[in-house]
Amino acid sequence: MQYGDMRENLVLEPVSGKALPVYKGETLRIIQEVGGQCVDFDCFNLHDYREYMSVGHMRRQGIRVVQGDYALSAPPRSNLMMWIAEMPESCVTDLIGSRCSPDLFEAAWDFDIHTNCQDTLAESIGEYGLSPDDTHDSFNMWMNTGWDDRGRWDIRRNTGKKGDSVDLLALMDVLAVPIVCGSGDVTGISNYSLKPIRIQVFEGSPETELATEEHLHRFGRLKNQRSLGDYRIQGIKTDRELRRDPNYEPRFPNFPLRFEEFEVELTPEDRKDVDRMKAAGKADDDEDAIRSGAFNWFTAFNTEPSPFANKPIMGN
Amino acid sequence: MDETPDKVTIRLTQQQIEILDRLKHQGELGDEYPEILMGAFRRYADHSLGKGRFGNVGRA
Repeated sequence: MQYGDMRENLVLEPVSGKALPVYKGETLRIIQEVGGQCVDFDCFNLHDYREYMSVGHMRRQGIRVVQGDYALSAPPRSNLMMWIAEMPESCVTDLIGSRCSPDLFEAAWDFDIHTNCQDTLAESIGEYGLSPDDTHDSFNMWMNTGWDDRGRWDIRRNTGKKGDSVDLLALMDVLAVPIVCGSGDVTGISNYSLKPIRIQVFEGSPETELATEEHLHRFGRLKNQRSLGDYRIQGIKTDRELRRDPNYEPRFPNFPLRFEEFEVELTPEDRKDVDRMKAAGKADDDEDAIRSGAFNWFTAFNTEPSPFANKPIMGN
Repeated sequence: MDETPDKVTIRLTQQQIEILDRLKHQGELGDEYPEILMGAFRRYADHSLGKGRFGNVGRA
């Protein structure tokens, strides 16, 4: 894709970061200046900091996003924030590992203070008046971790090579916050050394603006991508104490639930299948077997592909 | 041989009924909730109960 002119080009020395606006249709490039450096990334809606990237919801695309996936904002906004336009295979991503923090290094190795992503993110966004509490779990790039079925993890060698780069196309005006991960000298996440990264921002071009509109047209039109005007409470609470509002009445969706009952008739083959499911521990009773099987099929084969929806696999 | 029909009562949320309505609109599985639900169940069984590629839960 052809980008516009480069308007930012800076090196982030270890261990530092930078919050910088990237406007809709522009592209942020993150480059391995030396290689083997883990990069943490966060972003905010530039015009409303309460809308921010949610790696938890990005995980619906998989715990390792790849080229073609999206950075998404947290519900109920649920907007496309950035699109991963380019990402080399050397950039293994991790959406589970969160961000390293000073408590980790004190607890593990008794450091009074050690470079860490929490503090680097906080210091970076401070330029825009945001506090340490405004940091979020980060989208981790060049973070080669392994996860087993029990959720335990291990760190593998960083495979980033000098010059490797990731391009993120902004689908809204964002405050982008790329930082050098601070854990890499005492963990293997950056191969036991801390290196600089380079950041570039390219202006929009007719091609990127067209691509932006295509992404928004495809995935940016859900009724439940809500805006501030949809909220019952629209203000930002400024005092820290939580106090109960005795007049507040929650309005849970579709509450109380409504039900419908009907009878189905099983063929001898259906009966065998229902009994097999129960015997295999996949259903507690006949009703559970039929309902679970039917909706398992529905969710596996009738779910529209979307960055907002999990990619289910049938068989449970 | 027992000739009694093998019937099961199914209780669904209105939200699940919305999905059956969508399948009804697609027209592949039938027009009535019981036949749509059993149609979906049979497709699951074809794929998942040792009849297809998604795994085997107990068939020899």
